[in-house]
Amino acid sequence: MINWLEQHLFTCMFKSTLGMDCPGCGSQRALIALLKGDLMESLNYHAALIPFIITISLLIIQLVGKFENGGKWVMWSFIATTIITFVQYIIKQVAVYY
Amino acid sequence: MEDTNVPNQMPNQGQNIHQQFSNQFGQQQVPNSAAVLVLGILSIVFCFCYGIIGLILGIVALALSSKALAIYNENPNTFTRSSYNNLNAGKICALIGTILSALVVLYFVVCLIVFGTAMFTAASAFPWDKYGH
Repeated sequence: MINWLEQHLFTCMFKSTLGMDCPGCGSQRALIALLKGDLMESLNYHAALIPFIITISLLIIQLVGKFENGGKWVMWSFIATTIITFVQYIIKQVAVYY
Repeated sequence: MEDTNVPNQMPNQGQNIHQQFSNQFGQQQVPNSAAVLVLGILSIVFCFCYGIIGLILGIVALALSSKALAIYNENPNTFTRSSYNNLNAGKICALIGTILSALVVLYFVVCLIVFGTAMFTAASAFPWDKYGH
């Protein structure tokens, strides 16, 4: 299954039309690294993938369990994921030019 | 014996005690609260690749949430607190997702315009005259 995933990667629309990275770039490679069990590699490719998986897990738990403040947990982890996404994007772009 | 008479003689007070015990919220789910939460999060997932999809999902989520809030405000005490919190959290997620998707779409449009004008100027600077008859 991991081989199938590796051979069927999506092309990012940013990269094909504009030639530059988008804030989501690297997430597929990060997922594959995670499935292989490599945490550090996954964080290297896309630091926000693991927070994103945490967000989705919280979402599923919230939908099933209907906790009172669960919605707020989902929202805050979503905001944390977004912030981490943009920070890692800026760091990646800056690292290319310096 | 007095306790059993209380709900009959003072129905308002009995209802108040019941509401206190159930955190002052009722038992119904605000309609579409789960959908708003899920759509709000999906709107950011799809906001980078194909910025349009994130925009559509975000706008749908915001429309659903404003309708659901109107329904909630008519009868605040008949809905569960957790679904109300879900609705608010989903609304904020959808807001963030919609704004980001709109920025992505705007960025694409600007880049295409810049790219288009660059192509146009390059094409008009080309010495076509030399290649005429």
